[in-house]
Amino acid sequence: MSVEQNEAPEGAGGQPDTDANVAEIVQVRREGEVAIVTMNCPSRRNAFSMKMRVALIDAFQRLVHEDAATKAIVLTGAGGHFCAGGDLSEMNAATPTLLELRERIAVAVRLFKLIYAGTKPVVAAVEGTCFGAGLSLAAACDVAVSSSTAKYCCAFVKVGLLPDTGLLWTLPQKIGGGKARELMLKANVIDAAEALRIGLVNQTTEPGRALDAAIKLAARFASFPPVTLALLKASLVTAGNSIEDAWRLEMDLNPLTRQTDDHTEAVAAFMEKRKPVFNGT
Amino acid sequence: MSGMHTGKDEAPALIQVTCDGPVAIVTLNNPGRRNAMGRQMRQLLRDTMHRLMAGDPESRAIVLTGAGEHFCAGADISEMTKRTILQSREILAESCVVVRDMLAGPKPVVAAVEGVAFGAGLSLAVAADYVVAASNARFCAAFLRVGLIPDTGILWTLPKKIGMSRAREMLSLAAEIDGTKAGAISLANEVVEPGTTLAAAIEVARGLAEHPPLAIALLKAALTDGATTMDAALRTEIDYQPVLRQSRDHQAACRAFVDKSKPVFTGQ
Amino acid sequence: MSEQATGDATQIVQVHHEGAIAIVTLNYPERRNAFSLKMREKLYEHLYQLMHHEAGCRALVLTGAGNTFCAGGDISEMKPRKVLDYRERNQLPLEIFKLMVSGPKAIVAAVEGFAMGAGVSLAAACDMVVSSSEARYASAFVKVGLMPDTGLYWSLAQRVGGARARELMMTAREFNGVEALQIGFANQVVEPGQALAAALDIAGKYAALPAVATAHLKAALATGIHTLDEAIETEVNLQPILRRSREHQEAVSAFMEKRQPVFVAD
Repeated sequence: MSVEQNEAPEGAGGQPDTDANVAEIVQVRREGEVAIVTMNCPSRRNAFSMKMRVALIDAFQRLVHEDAATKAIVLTGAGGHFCAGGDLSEMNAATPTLLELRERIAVAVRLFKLIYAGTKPVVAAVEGTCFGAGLSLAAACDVAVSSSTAKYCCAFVKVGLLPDTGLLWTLPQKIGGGKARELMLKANVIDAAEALRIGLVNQTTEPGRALDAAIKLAARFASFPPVTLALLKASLVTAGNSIEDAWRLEMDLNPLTRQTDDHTEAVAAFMEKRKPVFNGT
Repeated sequence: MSGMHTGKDEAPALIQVTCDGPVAIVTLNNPGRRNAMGRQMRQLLRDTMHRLMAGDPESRAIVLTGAGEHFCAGADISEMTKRTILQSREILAESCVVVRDMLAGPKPVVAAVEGVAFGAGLSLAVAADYVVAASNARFCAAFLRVGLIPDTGILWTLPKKIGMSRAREMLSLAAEIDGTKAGAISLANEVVEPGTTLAAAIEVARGLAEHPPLAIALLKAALTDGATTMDAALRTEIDYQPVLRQSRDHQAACRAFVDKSKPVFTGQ
Repeated sequence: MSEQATGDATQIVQVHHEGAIAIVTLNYPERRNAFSLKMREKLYEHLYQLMHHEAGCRALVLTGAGNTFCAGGDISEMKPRKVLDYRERNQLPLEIFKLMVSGPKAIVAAVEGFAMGAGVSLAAACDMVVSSSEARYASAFVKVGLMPDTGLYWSLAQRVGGARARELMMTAREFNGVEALQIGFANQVVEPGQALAAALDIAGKYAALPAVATAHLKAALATGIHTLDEAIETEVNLQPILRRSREHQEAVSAFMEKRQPVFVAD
């Protein structure tokens, strides 16, 4: 377990970085209903070390499953970079056994599932370097906002590894199978403009402004009926697989959502031509 | 550095293989018929591709191209005489072995496409990992025009490459597009001046040949068979990654990163 | 080309024939062609007839009256109901979707104006989408506390890829015809007012292609080709049948005799 536990402050409003916060390898603060998770190891460009992984899982576990006040999450990196990838000097230092390695990868997979298949929307705010596992994290998010000077690289194969942390699934989903195969085999660097063109990111901003834009997007998510959004995100993991899967999900989930108070409120608000007020039931 | 392997002594082989360092160049060789493929040619291609993938330690990447001005005009229609259903099934299965080897085999395949890539010729191009197309190359899934469904794996490979709505357009309407359009929709990864595709393809192949071979091999297997659903993709990484982490090539890469040196990869 | 109107102008779903092409028009313009229960019933009826019982119809075009495609479900019909009741009501849109996606004939969407909610689902279920540059699309379901329906889960991901579908469904944001082309939702984008003409052009191409091969291809794509092995299995099973079809044999003869083929379905 990570030694540097970070307690998420309760209540609304932004929280300034306390002394304890600054030292954390993963910082968490809240702005209204949006929680901002910051990877914080700028001297290593937020490398995806074991310590970072565990701290991220703690943060996401708490925000997704235990913090009702958080409706949407933004993931970003400190020091002008998102995440430069796995910690190669850590990997060079020791080679664990095969079974230990399986467990370590399972840890990354657990984090991936919290982001990709969890019940709350996650927005990536990318500045600077987004390589390797950094790319995996960005691709696991529902939407990504990129600084115009950010750089992306599926660097794994260059160091003799497979793309991991879900990227085998998420990269083709984002940019198509042909383009994904190309980027994975060549391990070339692409810029933000190309990332936007191929669908890896959804929006580009001036350098330094990705976080603000991401928070805005996250706030939009936070304004939707939470139950419906959670059901939608969960169902999207398998919904596109086949007509049968899509059919079953529709048949099962539509009646459920029609039963929610939030749906009734939405219909009423529409008929009365006013703004809806959702309470998450 | 180059070797010619001919099938017969009297006539040039329908499939030719030459070597350029770690790159094996496979040439469809029936230029008088725009490299249209009859059964014999398909079988030869199947055997050649399999040998290069499974048993040729000299090569680390493969380039696929066509002799003369075209890539491949498709199946040889003059051979489409009446066959029994069982014969047809067998013949189709033969073509599909090539595509499976190209997609899931351990070595990256780069297609160099000049001129036409029609029907099964398109299927072959699309089964490559990377496509270099001449700007005036012509791509067309011509199958429907002759009352057939698109084959040689293209029902999976084309939507994977360009998405289903564009694939549907090409497959169900037999719509033709040129190299430039192919580049725009990611059917081609690179678009170059006519006449220069082979050189460009060899360069790409050389670059890919420098990557750790085991990682490339497992990546290709993972992308073809191991990532059809999210759960499958996650299982694949848990199963394969530890093997790669323990590989000598990965450790060489880590050491090189720390020492700031250039790693040498042996495929172990 | 002869034109026959089926029924009168007050029909909520109209069908016109132009040669071998059937034009199906959602006709409820005062409510922007809202996908009411009555419209669903009529649409299903007509699609079933055209897909399965009208030999003279070789391709379909789906469009909306009043310069708009379909603005979505009829919100005034959304009264509270029991769960089993909802399940039953869900059946019909799904049957329509299935008919469009796995029926034997190609269907081309001609989209002007709004295609939202069920409107975007209907467009996405077509084989090809021709869009006005100013058409407005949105998967707005989540905003009103609903899941996407009428097969959009499957059809949107098919057209724009899994991640883009996820983004569009979760953000419920609007996109126009120009973006629709960029992301692969639309196959072609035209000036406002031109969608129907362009769609008819494409439908004409479908109508001229071999009918048996078209039907088999469409069925194969609907079943879903998720793996290379599935693709191989499908072609090994279906292609030998097509090789023995009259249309294929005519095509081979035409090729050898250096003439244009004349297709007659088996």
